[in-house]
Amino acid sequence: MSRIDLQDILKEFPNGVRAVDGVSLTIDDGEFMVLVGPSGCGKTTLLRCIAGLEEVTDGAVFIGDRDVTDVAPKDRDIAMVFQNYALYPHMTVRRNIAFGLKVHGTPRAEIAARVAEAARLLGLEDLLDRRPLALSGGQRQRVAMGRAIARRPVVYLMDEPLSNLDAKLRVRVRADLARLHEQLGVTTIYVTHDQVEAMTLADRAAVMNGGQIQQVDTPQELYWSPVNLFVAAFIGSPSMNLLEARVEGGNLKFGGFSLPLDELGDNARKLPPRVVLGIRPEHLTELGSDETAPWSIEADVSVVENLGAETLVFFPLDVTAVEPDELVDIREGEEQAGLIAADHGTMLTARLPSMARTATRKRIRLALHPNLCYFFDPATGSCILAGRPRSADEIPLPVAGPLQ
Amino acid sequence: MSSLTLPRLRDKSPRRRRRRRSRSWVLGRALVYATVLLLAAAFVVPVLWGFLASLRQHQAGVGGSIVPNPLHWENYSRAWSYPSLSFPHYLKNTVFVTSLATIPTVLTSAMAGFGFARHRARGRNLLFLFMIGTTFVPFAVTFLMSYFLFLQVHLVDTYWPWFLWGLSANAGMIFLFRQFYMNFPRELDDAASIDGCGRLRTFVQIYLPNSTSILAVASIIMGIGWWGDYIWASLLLNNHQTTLSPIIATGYYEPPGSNSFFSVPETLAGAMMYTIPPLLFFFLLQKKLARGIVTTGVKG
Repeated sequence: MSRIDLQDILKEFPNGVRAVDGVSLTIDDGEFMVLVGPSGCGKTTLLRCIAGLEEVTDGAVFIGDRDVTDVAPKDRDIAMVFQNYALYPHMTVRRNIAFGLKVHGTPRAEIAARVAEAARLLGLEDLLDRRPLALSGGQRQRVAMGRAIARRPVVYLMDEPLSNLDAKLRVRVRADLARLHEQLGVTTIYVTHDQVEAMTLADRAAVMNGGQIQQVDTPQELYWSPVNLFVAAFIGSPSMNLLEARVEGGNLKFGGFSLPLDELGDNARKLPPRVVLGIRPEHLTELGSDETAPWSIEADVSVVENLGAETLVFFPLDVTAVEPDELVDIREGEEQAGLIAADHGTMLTARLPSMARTATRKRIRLALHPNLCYFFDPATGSCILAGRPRSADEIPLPVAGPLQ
Repeated sequence: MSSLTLPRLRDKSPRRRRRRRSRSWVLGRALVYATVLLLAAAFVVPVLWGFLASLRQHQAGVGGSIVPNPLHWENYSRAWSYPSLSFPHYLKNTVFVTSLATIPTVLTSAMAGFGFARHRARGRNLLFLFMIGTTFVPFAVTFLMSYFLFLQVHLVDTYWPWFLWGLSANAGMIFLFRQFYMNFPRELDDAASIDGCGRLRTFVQIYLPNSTSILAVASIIMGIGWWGDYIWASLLLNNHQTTLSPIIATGYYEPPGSNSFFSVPETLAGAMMYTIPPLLFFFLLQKKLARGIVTTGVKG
């Protein structure tokens, strides 16, 4: 039984920084839980609290039925994979994998068997007598995984294990991780700031910000039903377009556009006079000159980024952008940030098929799908109406989800 | 016949630019080398003179020709097997005393440095400052106190003081190790902790094996220091226990017994032999100095 129960975890550092602020979370036996959030949100500190590498200021950590809050890391029956691998440089791969077992007094024959099994599982058989210096980044990462696997703990803790790998290798190791979890079925807590990793690996993911959990749910639910602006903006790449809109006379008004709210049916009644409208870039569709749509907007294209499989189109609208402090952090990593700063309105993004007709400085007409729009309360940031397709046909092709 | 004369292009090739720059570079280098050679000569000339003087006839004094003819290599065998000053015996004593002080000093300093670098404790920085402060107390002050202390506890004429010095570590070395361990990847501590290591095991099995370069540096500094010690060996050890340093400083007399004269060449031959072990020790550890693999297990 390796269910993990976090009860009101509080971690405050001596300098007064509260890295984890009252987190309660239950992770089921065998579940793959991802802690995801921007840098500094407290996800790694929370993981270190679970590992026992940081003392919690308040709250309790349960692994199974045991309260391990004050138990040393070595006695928690956990294994951890570190962001920087943390292999022992003076030991061979074999000794690195065997070290934890040796310290725990495992019999020699058992150690040899477990090392061989981990090596076979991760394709490390030919590297067992090499030292970390003679390994590539990907191989070191696999050794770090092997070290954790050989221990056969009740919980795996992984702290951004793929962040030092190049993009191609990351995709491969990510698939390996998913396969390993499928085979081993051990409870895993995985920390990442990369939402693609979170969405692909997680059974459930906890989105964190400011030391608190914003939402815990399956990747699909996080994408389709974000509880607030933060989760909505964080999940999805490029981020959701967020802009202020008014509800007047049965219409939704923003940037000179007036869209009939009767397209939303009874849901329209839930909307207050002022809302934050959220539109995912992949839910905008380009309209031909003779095509019409119930909800459509027109704009001049500012920048086109052709990514091969898809095209990102940036266009300004004369609307008020919604940029709460925490959302600015999220957008900082995106090229959009520079564009937002440009002095021609708020820059929105559309994610269109690869062969989109769009060219720079061209006027573009885009269809919005009423059922795929999100509405948030501008005062609290909470979600009033989440974009939910009534059927799969309603989701624009070819981009049918949050994945790249 | 007319010929076409092409205008001569100014050569802007990297080779030419390099050559032009290299003239000033050569001048600068020459100046640097001349300074270095001059400084090196200041250190090497006395040793070279000592070596050549050790090959003179054993009655010779300090004067005379610089390069002796013939070379009296027998001075070395005489110095080695001088009847009342058994070189091998005192060499053994010196190796023993040096090891007795150096090995524990290096290990305890490493452990203290590890503690200062990694162990969070109230008053740690204050304690560290106090420890560093002890290095500013003049030797003349501590030396008398230490001597009387050893006299009081009857440790004179024993090797215990060297072992006790070893156990009490060395402030300079502690500082050296602390700085080294502060740059050690913290992830290794965390990994060791998760793997089941306590602090001592982390130090012994993770930190020490990855500290070969700094251990070599500390061993060389402390070892050579203790090898050359004259004062403590003279004060605390009797004639049978003492080390080579006081013996060589006393000098060799020929012929042994009464009516003898001070033999400069044999004394210098003894001094030359006395310098060989630390040189060998240095060359033995020299490879370790350049080795630094501690960050090869982590990325970032």
